[in-house]
Amino acid sequence: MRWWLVQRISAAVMAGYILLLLARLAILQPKGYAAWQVFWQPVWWRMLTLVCFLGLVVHAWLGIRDVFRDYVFNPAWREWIQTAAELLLLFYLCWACYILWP
Amino acid sequence: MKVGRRRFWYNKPMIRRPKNLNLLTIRFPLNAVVSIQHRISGMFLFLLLPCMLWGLQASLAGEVQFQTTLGVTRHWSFKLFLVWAAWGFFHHFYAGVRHLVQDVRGTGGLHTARISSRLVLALVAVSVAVFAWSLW
Amino acid sequence: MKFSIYRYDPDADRKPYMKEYDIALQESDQMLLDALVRIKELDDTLSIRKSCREGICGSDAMNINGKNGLACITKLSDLKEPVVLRPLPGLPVIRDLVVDMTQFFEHYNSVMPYLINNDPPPETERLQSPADRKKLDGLYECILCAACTTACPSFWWNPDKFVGPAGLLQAYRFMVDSRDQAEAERLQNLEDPYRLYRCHNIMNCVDVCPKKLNPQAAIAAIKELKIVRAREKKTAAKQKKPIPLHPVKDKPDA
Repeated sequence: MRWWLVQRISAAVMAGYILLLLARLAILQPKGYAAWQVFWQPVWWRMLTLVCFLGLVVHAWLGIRDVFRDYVFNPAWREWIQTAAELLLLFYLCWACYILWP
Repeated sequence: MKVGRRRFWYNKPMIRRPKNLNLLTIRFPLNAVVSIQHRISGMFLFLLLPCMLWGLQASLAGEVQFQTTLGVTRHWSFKLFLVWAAWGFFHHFYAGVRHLVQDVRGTGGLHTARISSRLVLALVAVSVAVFAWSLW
Repeated sequence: MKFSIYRYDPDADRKPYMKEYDIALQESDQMLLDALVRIKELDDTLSIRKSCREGICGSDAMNINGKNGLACITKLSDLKEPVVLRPLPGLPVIRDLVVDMTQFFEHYNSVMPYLINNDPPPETERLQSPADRKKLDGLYECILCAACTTACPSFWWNPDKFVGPAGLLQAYRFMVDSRDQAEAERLQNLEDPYRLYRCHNIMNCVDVCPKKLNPQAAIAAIKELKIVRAREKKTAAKQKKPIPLHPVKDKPDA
């Protein structure tokens, strides 16, 4: 039950971020590399992006866990591909941190 | 009871009795279509995650890389790919919002659910069209 | 009228096949079941289940032109020809249109579909206020025909683990019953990633129910009830109050 709730909350977080992103894009209208860099400069914006990405990782994790539970019937196989997906998501999270704070 | 051999993808021996489960013979209502597309687009977005991260990284890496990334997006085949990705995003987004509203406020019966399904499909079509138009 | 019917005899056929029928109907043949009886007069090897012929017993549920329904309350005039009849999807076929419902009833049994009340029985019936009785509307009418459960993709892929819409509808029917005292146990009984949470609001169950019930709404209500009770537990723990074993329910009118 907890995870069922977490998936919905993370979805709401991402939806909020996307609306904010669209609003910021519309207001600042970054054209060219310099403007694009300025767009990603503020620390609060990077923090928000990281929060959103954290939500995305959790959401994706729960989402594909659901998919595997629905369609992969052999418990051993399911454990394996689930672990693989989890490691992949963890890697993406590290990657996102690296991009935001090179 | 006849028992079939164990299948690698199923942890129990199968009882050898047929099941009527030919999906082509079953009619799927609109709600089911929107629901399965939500799942398909979700898997698709999961596969797109590395592309998204790579794009962001390249565009922030420097002036030259930024121009290269922009240059790639100007190619027509990549634009087509972007439209496809936009479908995945918009469908997952709108159908997801529909699911969220349903979880909070209830589905409000079959009729309402059908209307909201149509609304989702219409919004997706409009959004993808606007996106494609702004690309070209 | 033309029919195409799924045929399978485990003793004679290696594989199921579709058999075509073209029969002359009489004026009194209004419902699909009438036509099936007519076909059986011509070909008595065809196996079907039927009983009440008026949508109460739930025996003759089948997949009609791709959609689950009861043959006895499906009008022939509403059907496109040839009428394709297949057994309920996702359940093992015993013969022709007859499926093995053991799994379905095991799931039904697993939700404890009976009143649990440990108080000594009163001299008259256990009374219920009209408002409490009203809560059972849309739940108690289920005839267990399995049309909803076998229309549910989540059940197709995990028939051994997911309870299915019919079973969950009944689980909720007893959770909201003011005379029942086992709500906590019933909720605990569904605390598992498969039994309840395979439902993804696909709504096929609502689409096919011949009694026009809404199992999806009942499942959503169970999910909500779980959250409400978990919250109550949390606040009770914070205030260091003893947790009530059974939730307080409205007392019936005197």
